[in-house]
Amino acid sequence: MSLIRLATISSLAYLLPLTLWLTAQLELNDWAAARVTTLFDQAVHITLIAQIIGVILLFFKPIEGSRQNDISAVALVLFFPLPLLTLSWLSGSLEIIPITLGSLMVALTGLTAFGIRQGLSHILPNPAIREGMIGALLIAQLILLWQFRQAWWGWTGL
Amino acid sequence: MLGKFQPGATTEIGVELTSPQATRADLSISDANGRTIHHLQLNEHARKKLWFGIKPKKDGSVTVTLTVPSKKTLTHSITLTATRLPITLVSIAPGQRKRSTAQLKTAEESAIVMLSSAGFPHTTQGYGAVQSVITDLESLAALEQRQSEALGQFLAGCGILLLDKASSSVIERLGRSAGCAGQLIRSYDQLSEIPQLLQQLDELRPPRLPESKTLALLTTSQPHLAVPLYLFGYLLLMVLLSSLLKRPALLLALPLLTAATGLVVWYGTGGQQLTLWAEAETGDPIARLAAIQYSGGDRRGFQETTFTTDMVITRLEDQQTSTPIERREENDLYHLTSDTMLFEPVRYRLDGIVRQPHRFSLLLDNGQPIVRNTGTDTTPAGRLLWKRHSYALPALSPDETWHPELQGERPSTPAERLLSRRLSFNSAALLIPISQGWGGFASSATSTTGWLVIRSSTGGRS
Repeated sequence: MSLIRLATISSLAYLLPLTLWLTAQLELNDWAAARVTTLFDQAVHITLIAQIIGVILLFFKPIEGSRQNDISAVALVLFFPLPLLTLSWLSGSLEIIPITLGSLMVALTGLTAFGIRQGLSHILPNPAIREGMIGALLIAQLILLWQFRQAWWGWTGL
Repeated sequence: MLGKFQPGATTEIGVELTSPQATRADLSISDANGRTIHHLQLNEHARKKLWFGIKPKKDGSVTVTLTVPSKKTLTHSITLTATRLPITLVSIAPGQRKRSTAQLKTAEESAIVMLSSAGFPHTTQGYGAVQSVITDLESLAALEQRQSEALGQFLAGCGILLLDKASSSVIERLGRSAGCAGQLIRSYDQLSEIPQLLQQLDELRPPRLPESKTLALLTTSQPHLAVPLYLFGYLLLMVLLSSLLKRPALLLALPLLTAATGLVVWYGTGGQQLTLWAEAETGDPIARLAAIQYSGGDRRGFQETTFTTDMVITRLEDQQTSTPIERREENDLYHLTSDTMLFEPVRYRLDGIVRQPHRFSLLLDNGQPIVRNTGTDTTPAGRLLWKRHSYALPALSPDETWHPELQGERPSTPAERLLSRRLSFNSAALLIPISQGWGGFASSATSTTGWLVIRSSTGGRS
């Protein structure tokens, strides 16, 4: 499976249930209620966390395609929830700068994961040790971002 | 100023200004409605006394700031005492005041405000929390024109007026222009009669207008299908294209295109909608009118609406100091500006009084409703709600009668469903559409959904 296809599937895997949950909440609650803002706000937070998980997942397995494909895959994870983020801005839940900074955080995470895989591929020749090490570092990166989510949410203004 | 206020109700304040030179000034009033700016012209050494309708904040505070072109500002804050009880205004001969206060306090569930005739409200908003007025003919005669007009509007809105030893001709004359067929204007001889009279008259008052939330139901019950369609349509396209495209990198264009489509559709000048609700009992002149102005709601963007100052405007929610209600003195207009968000409309409540709209009688003859046009103009077609069914009421010429013959339908519109829920099974009610511009404040860009409601009373006649 190509990296772009993996990016599409992982994005659909969170965005489909998230959209189902969001629209069900909106239909059950009054559309004009102040809850709309809260719902979109929650949806954006969930989206960013899911994007980070998705972008790290891309680099768990060895890269098979070209570098252009890798970048396209990261860009796809980044762009996939754009309609939802647009709606959240239109509803007044979030302004453009926090959304941009949040997406920037996802992009940086992707680049870091990409860097880890590329760097260790050159340093460690033994495939077993290399994949183990890359896996451990990516999981550590994921745990760190999860543990300190309040800090970077605060920094981005989310 | 009455010194007391009921949370959520309007009252008024008086502001007196003098200036050593002729100048323009901005008077800003910050209350529960946010900030209202009045642009004023002050003349040299001339005293200017102005009365403004206000809605105090929860703690009763109101801040008034005067700004002159030299950027000098003068700020004054006042705090009113809150009361949960409706207010009774008492203005009678000084000798009787002490006794009357004692009598009223023991028997009536209301907050009593003693005042002289000069203290009577000058604006309709001043009567926002006032339920009854107890006064004498001397005090009434001493009222200024604006005070008389405000009192007239209070009475037209089915306010209670008790007059000390007034003749029946005076009561009848006052009752002609009052709401509820003038039944709520009475004379009394002894102070001891007042508590019982107030209790009787309170029972005759029409039911309160529906709460704002109920009114909001009329415009927000429509599901917004566009958003689920937009999101799920996008996901479906994404799935289809990912399996069809030979160059998957082209997939990147779809989220960008979809986001741009969302922006085009939902960004721009916010829409506006006006919902009116008027309810009249017993075929009287319309006593009260309430309207809600929604700005935005289905779009994000800047919105400006203009109304004549005949309207009483109250912001219901989204108090933003950045979006003031602005009134221009020179052309008697309110400018309401707001930055609105998708699905989060800014709501204003507009209160006003409209006299003599269509007149109907609704009679239940052996349980069968009979409608008659008792006015002088042809009435518009409307709906009759009876026994959980809705019937098409045709346009009626003066004195024409009508009764339902065909089988009714299930209530379909939000207004019909809402009213149907509020009716007991054997009661009947008429829903008469109020045309755009009725009340004189709907701009041409405003879509209006207004209904005059006439319900049968327990006696079977309305």
